[in-house]
Amino acid sequence: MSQDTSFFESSMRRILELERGVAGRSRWDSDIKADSSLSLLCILISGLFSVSVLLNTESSIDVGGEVTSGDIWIYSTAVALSWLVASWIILISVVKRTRMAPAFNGRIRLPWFGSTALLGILSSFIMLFLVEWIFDILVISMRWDIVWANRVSVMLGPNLTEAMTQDYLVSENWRIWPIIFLVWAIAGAAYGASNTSVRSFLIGFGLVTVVVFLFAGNPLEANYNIDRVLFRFSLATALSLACFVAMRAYSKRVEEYKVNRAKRNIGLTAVATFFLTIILLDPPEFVKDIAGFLAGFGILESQLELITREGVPPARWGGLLINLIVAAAGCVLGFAIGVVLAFSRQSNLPILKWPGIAVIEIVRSGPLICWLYFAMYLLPDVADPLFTNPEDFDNIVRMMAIFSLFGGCYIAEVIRGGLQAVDSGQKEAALALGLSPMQIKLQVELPNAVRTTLPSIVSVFIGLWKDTTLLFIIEIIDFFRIAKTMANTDLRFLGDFLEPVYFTALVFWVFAFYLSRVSMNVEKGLGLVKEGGGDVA
Amino acid sequence: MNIKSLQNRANIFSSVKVLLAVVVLWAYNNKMLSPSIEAVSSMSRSFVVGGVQQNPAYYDPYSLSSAIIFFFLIFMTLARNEIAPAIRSKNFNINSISLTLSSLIISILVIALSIFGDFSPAKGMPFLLIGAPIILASLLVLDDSEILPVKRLSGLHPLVDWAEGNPGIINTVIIFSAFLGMAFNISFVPPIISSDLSSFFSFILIIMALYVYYQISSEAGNPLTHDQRSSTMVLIIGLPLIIYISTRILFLLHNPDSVTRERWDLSWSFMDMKNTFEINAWPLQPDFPEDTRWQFLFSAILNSARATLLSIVLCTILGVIIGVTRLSSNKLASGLATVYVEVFRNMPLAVLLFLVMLQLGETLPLFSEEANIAGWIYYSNQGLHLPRPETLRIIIALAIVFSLWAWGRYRDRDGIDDSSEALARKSLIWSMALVACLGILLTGDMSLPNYVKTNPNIPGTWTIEEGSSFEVTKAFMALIIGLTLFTASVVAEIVRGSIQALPRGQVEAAVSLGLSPYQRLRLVILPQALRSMIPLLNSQYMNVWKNSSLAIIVAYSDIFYVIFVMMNNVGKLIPLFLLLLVIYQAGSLLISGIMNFYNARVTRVKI
Repeated sequence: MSQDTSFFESSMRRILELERGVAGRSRWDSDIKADSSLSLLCILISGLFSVSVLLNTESSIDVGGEVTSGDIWIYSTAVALSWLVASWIILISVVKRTRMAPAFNGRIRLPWFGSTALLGILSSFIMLFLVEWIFDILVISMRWDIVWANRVSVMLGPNLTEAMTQDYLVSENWRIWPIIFLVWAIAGAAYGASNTSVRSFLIGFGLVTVVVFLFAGNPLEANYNIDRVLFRFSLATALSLACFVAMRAYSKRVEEYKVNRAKRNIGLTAVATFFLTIILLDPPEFVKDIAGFLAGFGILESQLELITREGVPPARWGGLLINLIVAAAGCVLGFAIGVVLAFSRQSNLPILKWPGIAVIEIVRSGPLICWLYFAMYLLPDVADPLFTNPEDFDNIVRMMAIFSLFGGCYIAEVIRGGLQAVDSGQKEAALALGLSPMQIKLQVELPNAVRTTLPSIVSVFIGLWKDTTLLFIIEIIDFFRIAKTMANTDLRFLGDFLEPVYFTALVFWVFAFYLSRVSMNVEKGLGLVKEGGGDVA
Repeated sequence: MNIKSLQNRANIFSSVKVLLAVVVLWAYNNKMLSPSIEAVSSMSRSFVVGGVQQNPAYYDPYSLSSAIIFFFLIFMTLARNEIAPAIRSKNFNINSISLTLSSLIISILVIALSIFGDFSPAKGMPFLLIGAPIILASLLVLDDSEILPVKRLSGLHPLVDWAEGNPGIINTVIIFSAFLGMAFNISFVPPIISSDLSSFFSFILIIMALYVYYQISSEAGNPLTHDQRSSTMVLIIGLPLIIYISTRILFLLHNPDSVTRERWDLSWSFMDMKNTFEINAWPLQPDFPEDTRWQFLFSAILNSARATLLSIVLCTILGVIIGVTRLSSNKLASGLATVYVEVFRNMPLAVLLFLVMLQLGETLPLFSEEANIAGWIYYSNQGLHLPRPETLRIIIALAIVFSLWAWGRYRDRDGIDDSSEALARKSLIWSMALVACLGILLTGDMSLPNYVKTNPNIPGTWTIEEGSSFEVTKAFMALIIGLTLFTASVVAEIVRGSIQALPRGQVEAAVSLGLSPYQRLRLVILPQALRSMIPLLNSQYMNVWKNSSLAIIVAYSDIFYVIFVMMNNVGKLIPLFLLLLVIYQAGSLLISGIMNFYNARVTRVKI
């Protein structure tokens, strides 16, 4: 009996706290019984109101066309829930917060519920509007079939899609799957080596896995073999989990310096994956020769024979692959260029300082889209004689080069700030120990600077990732371009030009959000106080 | 694992590193120098038929040699770094800038030689013009080295003693004469050199690099000498790149291929010609067939400027509102603000702009549906048509606002009255003034949008009469909405961070003093928060200016759009590209200057 009332009391207390968080302190704050009975009344009334809204909405939309009755129920439930919240907040504010306040210099008394409650009412209406609009987009007025039909094309580009899904072309599947396995493994190992709790990792990882399986496994409009793809993804998931468990056990048992070394090796493997992607997609000549030579000895003959086949030139890449590769090039190569430029700008030698300043200021003065045009049309003029085969310098390579340069200049500014913040005692101690200038730079100053400015560097990376959407202007078939022109290429989906764009926004947002979460966790891990809150890029 | 084996391992390791570096350097030198040599040969080949130069890439020897050598001389001066310290130091003697002077003399000699000596285009000119920078670099390398044979012979003759005391001059003279000898007699030089000039030069550069590396790694000498040697190393490594860039650009300026030559033609005379496409610009609408490209560009600059200005104002207001809401005690409001910031900060701007434009096109009604508000405002998916007040009344309204502000400043000259009554009085006066302005604007001879149906049966001919309304195009709306939403999220984060960085005690003290929320904000929070906000806002505003170049996605006639179409029409990429860079840099500098001025005002009081 007492447990019953205490459960009731604790839940009432939680509800009252929630109300106070949303509408402010009520007039009956001192009298809990009256307060709770009023709350129950308000909840009841708003509940009844929302049920009536539910029935109203459900009957007002007609089943027909693409809209099934399940869709209508989902939409109506969402709208009803948001009306529940809105009406509850209004009722609470009116019932509990109203008091008469003097206005116009104290001459008139008007009912006033206080700014917190006013804000609450306003926000509830905004939330109502947003929920209605979002669910309307999701289930009622838009057909998402176009997105399901073009899943592979949007990830890999039309040429690779043809090669991977149609039987009359040589399958290029083997080029992509090793990279996917590697990336999953590295992700698991990285989370295992850092101190994430098992629960948070499993929640996040489970979410990602569910999304991937739903996305890849939906049989609607699939133009590829779903079972095989799902099997491979489950292998990747298992591999990732195994790496996570192994790294976690290792890091728990071994000294910290070995864990740090392991983390550094994982980072190097990640960088190597980027280069491996490019090599696997389009193996350069010497790699093919080595593979052919080794295959002659009979080891791994069938796999090495695959490498000797003709590669997929960068002109035939497309989709999300291009966005990821260009962004990765911008981040990895840009970091190297940024470090060099930062040290140049800092140095005492004028031969390094003035060209460094010139490069950084010139590149930062123009918007990225202007530099993309420069790289597309003017850079080949300048750089063509350097390539034995001028066609090697094709669009994607130009874009990687200019993204690296652009990212490098922004990273250089960030690192320069970090370098200036390094305590000069560190440099003097290093000099006293007899380290050479190069050693001081690489082993004393740079790690300190990167550690201090890591959040800003990650925000530059996020900016570079978002800026890869600009590639569509240069006629490069990246994710956004395919999404834009999806509606024009398939006769079945001619009018659906908005859905792919929303899908693009979602995909880019997810990656950027994940990176910003990583940045926040890194900040917390490094123990830095986040001040200012502004980004450099 | 004793010391000796560790040392051996270190030695082997370092020699492997050196070997690798030599291989890479060899490949890099060859890659950069062979195209340069070819370029110089083709630029010095003169093929005159009937008085007309048939080789479009031809440069007369004076311009060719002076361009290449003076370009290199700039880097040489930077590497040597004699002039700045010499000017700064009090005792200036000619010895301190001797190397720079001697390099200048040698350059002039080489230029003169290239004009008056008869060097063959195939071998002689490249050898001269690419060898000269290498000679100049070698001056740096051998600057402080001694000459061993002379040392042995010291005491034999006063000339030898003088030579030993001035190794620099002797080194210079010997090397330069050797160089000249080879240049003049290039055909007699052994074919191993003259057939493959780039390998020869690469070899010389590698020898110089190894020598300087040996000097650096021995770490002998004071820091000044060490710095000089490091600069020399950088110059030697950068020399092929410098030569390649200068020769390549010279070659591109006189390219045999006419399309490329058009691209690199550095003259802006085409901008004085009439423009070949039409744009839609507001304060200064250029006249299509008549106006020059400069006028179109200027209108486009005004377009960009007004979009940027409006976005900056709106995004600051929205950003401050959302940033402060995020700190509010109402959980729902702060949650919504957090959702807003997280959604829009991670959204790519290009996708957002495109999305806004498409969604506006879908949601707004068709033009033929005559959607309007009381006949005054017509809205459709082609834009917004607002009523246009008389110009005189706009001026009167602005004058009223300005005079009210000036009177307020005068009244507050001895200090601002912060009491609640003063606040109520001020808000009353300002709201009455704004109502009066609105009244002035809306009465009188205001022209309403005139919806004209030329042919009632054909909706395509229905239009709103020119000049009867103030038109806000869909492209402008989409750009403003997209830019504002995106930038407001970043501004909200900046505002929130600045306010959260304030010490808690400040706000608590303000509350305990009994200040009202508005007084708290104005007197305690804002002055301190602004100090940290303004530099960050500065970079965000520059980003807004640069992001306005994405207007090409919504087909708004801004600077980038106009220059892009001109590039497609005229093909003169480099002049237009330089214009673009200069305009964006000027805009950034202007914004930065204004924000720095404001920053100085805000940080006038030292906290």
